[in-house]
Amino acid sequence: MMLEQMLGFLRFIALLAQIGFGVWLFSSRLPIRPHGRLWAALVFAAFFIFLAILFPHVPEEVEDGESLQMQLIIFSAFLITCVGMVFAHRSADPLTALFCATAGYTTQNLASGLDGLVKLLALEIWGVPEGDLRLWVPSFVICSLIVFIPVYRMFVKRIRTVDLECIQHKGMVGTLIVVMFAVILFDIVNKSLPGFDVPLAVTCISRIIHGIVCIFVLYAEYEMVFNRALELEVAATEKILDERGRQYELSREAISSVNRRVHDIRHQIARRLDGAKIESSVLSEVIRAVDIYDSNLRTGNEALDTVLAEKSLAARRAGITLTCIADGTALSPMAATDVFTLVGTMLDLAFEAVRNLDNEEYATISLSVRPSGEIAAVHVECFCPDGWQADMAILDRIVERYGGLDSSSIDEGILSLDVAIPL
Amino acid sequence: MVEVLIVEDDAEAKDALSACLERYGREKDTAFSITWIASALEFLEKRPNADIIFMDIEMPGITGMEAAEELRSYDMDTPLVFVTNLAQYAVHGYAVDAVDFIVKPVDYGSFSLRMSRVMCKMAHSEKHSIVLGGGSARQAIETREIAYVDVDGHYLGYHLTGGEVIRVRGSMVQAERELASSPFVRISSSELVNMAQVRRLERDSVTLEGGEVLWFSRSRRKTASERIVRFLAGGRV
Repeated sequence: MMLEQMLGFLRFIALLAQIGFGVWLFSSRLPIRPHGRLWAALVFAAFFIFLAILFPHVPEEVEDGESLQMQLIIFSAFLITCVGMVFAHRSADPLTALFCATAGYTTQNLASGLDGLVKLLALEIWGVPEGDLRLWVPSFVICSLIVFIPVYRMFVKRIRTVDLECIQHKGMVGTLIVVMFAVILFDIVNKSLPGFDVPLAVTCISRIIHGIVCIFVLYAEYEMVFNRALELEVAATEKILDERGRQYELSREAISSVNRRVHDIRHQIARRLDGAKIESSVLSEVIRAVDIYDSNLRTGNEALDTVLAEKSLAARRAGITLTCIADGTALSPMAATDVFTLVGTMLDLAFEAVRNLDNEEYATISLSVRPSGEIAAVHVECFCPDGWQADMAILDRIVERYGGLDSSSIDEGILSLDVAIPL
Repeated sequence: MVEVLIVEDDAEAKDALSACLERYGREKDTAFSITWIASALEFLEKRPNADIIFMDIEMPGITGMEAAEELRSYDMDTPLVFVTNLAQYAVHGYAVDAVDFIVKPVDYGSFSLRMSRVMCKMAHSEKHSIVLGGGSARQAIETREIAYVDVDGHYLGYHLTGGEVIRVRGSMVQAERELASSPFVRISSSELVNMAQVRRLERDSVTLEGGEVLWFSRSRRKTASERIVRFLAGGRV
């Protein structure tokens, strides 16, 4: 009897560890609060106090409907405890804590449901009792691995690439209710079914449905997190695009005013020096000094001319050689602000890579814009440091608008940024 | 040995370019043979053969740009790089299919970036042939004449740019291996496309010069489309 009680206690600990591991998987990337462990321990202790108060009211008979209610209350309370523990331990807002706890709990339920099914079949087919440790331990371990490994690879790993603090989806609250009333309730009913002398097939189907509900909950949570992350990313990119659009107008005016001024200065120099005795080398020097500000490249696309003028001046200031071969008419199907932003962003990415080089000798960037068949092709290349990565988010967004494609690659220390827009 | 032709009226600029070529040759273990022609007029008269041409734009008599236009009337393939201080004119280098231009005075960093792209372009435009068929039906085909290859059961179909299809027994992996030195990309489990034949590229398909529309398979779409973008836009694969 004593041994049975001990085994029961160990099984309970294993169950808690399984839930804890599930919740930890989802919340491990969140930063820990100051004194987080202490707060989490207090929440956990509160759960045990709750259990101590509740236990005198728990009926012993499984068949009793009241027992189901009580189990639902206990497991729901434990789920809420998990939410509280994540919130107390990790620096997360309530919705993020809710996500981590419900996703972890549901994963555990999926593993436990599969484990239950295996044990049920073992009992019915081979007559092995559920409590037999030779079945219990391997079934628990294998079912945990079968569930946790795919969930980690398909769900947790991807979720970790997203900023979990961005979860502001009110649907998360709905998930809590679904987990409490569908996942937990279903699980409790499944565990109670053998006591009601229900046919094996019905019990099996019920367990399979429980598994499907768990998978659905995980999928719904995944979609909620990713949709929210995507929404935020799109909003941030759109904001940058809007700002660049406004910047285009400012740059266009500034560059055209510089060009007018350079034109005037050149005329004034020619008029004043006309007939004056001055060495031709001095004259060339003066004209070259003025030419530095002459950014009047004519590619056949005003937006491209503007961005090239702006970036050429920036390159000169930074000691970077920027060369460009461009048929701007290739980009004529695109909106001026998009051309300005697309080429400007590609050049900015190249500037950033070049600025991080150790050797200034390699501070050079090449740009080409040309039609290729029924495609407008834009290519930027430059040397870059080892392991460099270009952030393509803005380019992706613009290119998508035109049904185009982009690519970023590094080969032998050369960063290539390529864009193809169908004409 | 790579034959390099420098068309440049300024001996100092020619020397600077030669020094860069020598350094690049040492670093990349490539041998260059350099020929210097001091005027565009002489270049047009002699029409010398070369693997790469470096051309100054501002030259007395005929400009480098005019000489390049003439060059393209009889040679569309040789990679051409302008060497100039006239960025305003070089920007229109696309009209003569110039790879890029280098600003004078030439520094090694600028030179080596452009040179590596020229070498890629040269590698792509190199002529390669494969032998198709067996027995009396054996024939050598230049890989640039192949628009795409597809597979039907145990037979490969080599679709030539003229519309002819040559069917031979073989597998896609085999075809991919044979065409590895030419710019081909696998867009699905059953189709291998010559990137130089792509006229239009969309998110799900490519249209070839002959009008054939071929579809990316889901699993290869990202990798294949990115390779095609790199090839069409930058000439690097």
